[in-house]
Amino acid sequence: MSRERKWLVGICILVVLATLAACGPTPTPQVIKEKETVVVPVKETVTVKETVVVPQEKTTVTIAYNQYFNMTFGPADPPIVAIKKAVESKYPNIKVELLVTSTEAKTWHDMYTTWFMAKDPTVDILGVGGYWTAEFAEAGWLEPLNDGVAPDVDPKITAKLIPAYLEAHTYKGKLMGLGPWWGGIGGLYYRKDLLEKYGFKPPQTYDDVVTIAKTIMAKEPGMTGWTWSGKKDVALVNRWFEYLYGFGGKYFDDAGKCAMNSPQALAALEYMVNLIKDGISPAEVATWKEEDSMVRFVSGQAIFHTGRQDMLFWLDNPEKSKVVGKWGFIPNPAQPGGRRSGTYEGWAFAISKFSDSKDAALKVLEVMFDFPVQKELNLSQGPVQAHMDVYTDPDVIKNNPNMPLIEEIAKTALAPLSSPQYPEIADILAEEIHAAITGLKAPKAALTDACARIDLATGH
Amino acid sequence: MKIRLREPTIAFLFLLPAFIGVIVFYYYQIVQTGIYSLHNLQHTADWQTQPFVWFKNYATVFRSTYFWQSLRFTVYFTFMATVLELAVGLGMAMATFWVSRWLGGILRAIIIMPWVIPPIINAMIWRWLFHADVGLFGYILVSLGLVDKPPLFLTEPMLAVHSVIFADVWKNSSIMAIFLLGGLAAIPADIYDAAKVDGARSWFRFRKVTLPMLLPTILVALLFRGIDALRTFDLIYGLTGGGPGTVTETLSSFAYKYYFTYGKFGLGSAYAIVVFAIIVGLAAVYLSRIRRNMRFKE
Repeated sequence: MSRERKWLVGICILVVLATLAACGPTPTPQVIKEKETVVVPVKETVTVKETVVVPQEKTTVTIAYNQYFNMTFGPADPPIVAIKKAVESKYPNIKVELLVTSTEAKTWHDMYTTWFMAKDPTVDILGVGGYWTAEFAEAGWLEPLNDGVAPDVDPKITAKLIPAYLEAHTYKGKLMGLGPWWGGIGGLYYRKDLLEKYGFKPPQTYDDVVTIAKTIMAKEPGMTGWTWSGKKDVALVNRWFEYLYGFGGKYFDDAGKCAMNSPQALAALEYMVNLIKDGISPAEVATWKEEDSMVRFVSGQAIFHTGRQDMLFWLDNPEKSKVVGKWGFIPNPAQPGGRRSGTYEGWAFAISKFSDSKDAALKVLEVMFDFPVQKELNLSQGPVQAHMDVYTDPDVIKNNPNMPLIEEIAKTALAPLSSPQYPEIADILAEEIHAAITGLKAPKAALTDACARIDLATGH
Repeated sequence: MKIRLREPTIAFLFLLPAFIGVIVFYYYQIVQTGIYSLHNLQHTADWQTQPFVWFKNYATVFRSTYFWQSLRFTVYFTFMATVLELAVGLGMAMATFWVSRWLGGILRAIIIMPWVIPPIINAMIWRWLFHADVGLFGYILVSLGLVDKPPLFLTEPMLAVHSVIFADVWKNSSIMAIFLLGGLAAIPADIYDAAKVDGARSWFRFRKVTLPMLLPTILVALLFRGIDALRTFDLIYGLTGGGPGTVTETLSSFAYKYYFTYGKFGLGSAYAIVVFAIIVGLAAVYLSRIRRNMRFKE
């Protein structure tokens, strides 16, 4: 080996050793403890107190959630920062880490399925969609939080959380998660200025919407009547639930069979199809995801828009919106005999059955749903949080003056269809409803097929 | 002590790691999926404790009208995408092969770019290009006065089917071109020289020299792309989500959906085995034809 090559090998070894040293464990925080050393002399016993340093092990609690946990949209830290600070001050021996998941709900769900299948103990706390609760609970993948077997959540914490929301995250009487930390509820945005100009009050029924839209569209050329998200996606399914209940329909009958082929359900789907046929909603809605569907309303080109409350934060921001001060937000309409409904999409946090740090995870979960962190979450990414005191907090109301509007919408919250087969049912509904609104199937055929497939999936 | 090994033994020892790798990482999973497909597994893969249902899952697969519909779409998509990719790829390969070396290098770097874009990102790009409100294609068609309003590329069934084929051709023609460039480089230059001396013009040289000499590469490239197209999932999932309705649903999406989204591992495995059998069957037929073709060449 030449001299140069020997040097080169030596340098490489040094670099590798230095890298390994750098990758080694970081020093853990240490706790000062008093250790008693007993010295036994010949004649008498003297106890000497000596101070020694004993390293304390930190327990890491890993939370799985998407990249939004690293972001803030208001006057507060991003959620993960707020949680880390609160946990560190209360439990110095617990370290919180974030494992970033996909933002796309389907991919996100499938990531969890893979982890659960592998009985992966890495993730302790998981952000779970309300409609995943039944599926994961039935599969035994989540730790019940009120079944009398540790870890059970402190009742003082749950007493302060809004019961209707907790109900949405309960399966067969067992609380499977605390939530929402963030949530969405559908409602109807409308152009207040245009409705006032043509002498209309905000619509109460679906027929009102059609009447108002037709009148204004005739007098305001180029104006779109009603925008909503109709892409073959979970958002379309959420919109469908709102129409279904708004026309007096329901998910299942008393025997647990699919009831979405009832006359009320048919009327709801025919109404959706006719919105497109009559030109009140453009045919493009069938390609729009939620973010696409709001574009025309925000640009001042639509009279009505159905969507979640998210837009409230920036509809009055002139940099992002052309309808500053010209809009209103009300619960979705309903036909006589129907229920004004906004599909509730709440994200809870649950403890994985396969976590190897369940006790520490429970402590973190309790911190997350105590008032200080809930308030921080509201200020950074509000407005739908679980803790009831948040809604009356002066800082929260100052930050979001639209809280009263949200409270009205929250009264119409419709719990998502609860079934262990929810992902399959949602796919079936997305396919059949989409086939109907794109004209591939007649509404009656689409609903008949949907219910036949759903009953097959649920074993009825 | 010296160990003397005969040549076959040495060859076997060299092959052993790859052999073990293939068994562990490929065949084991296939056998396991086959076992799962004979059980009723819901949200658990613990097949030893779950009911053995014989071929019930396979019966469900073959009874599903959506399965047959997606099979038709997948075969159509594969045929159209592969043929168009071959045509475009061959054009790109010819265009970059006969230019100067430095320009060829630049062009090759450019044509490979679509292929290196991840499929889901590719899907997002095309979703915006096809967007009914702000999409470039709709804007161009309206500006040229060909249509009154932008077509609904992803909602009209015929348009949706051909939009996903178009997006796939854009992405994968480049890899076809790279394959064919390899094949073109392997054709001896003296054959072209001889053809020129004999007075063959460029189109004649292409038909009588380039294409026949390139045929083995074309056949392998078609096999490679054909199998890949049969398994297409991400691009279509990101672009249309299988819609409108289930018009652009692919075979691969069934196994994925039943396995990962619905947690029905038994039924999902049956779908996976059926798709696997279809791909192996088509590949076997194709390979036998290639072999026949090679014999003919010899």
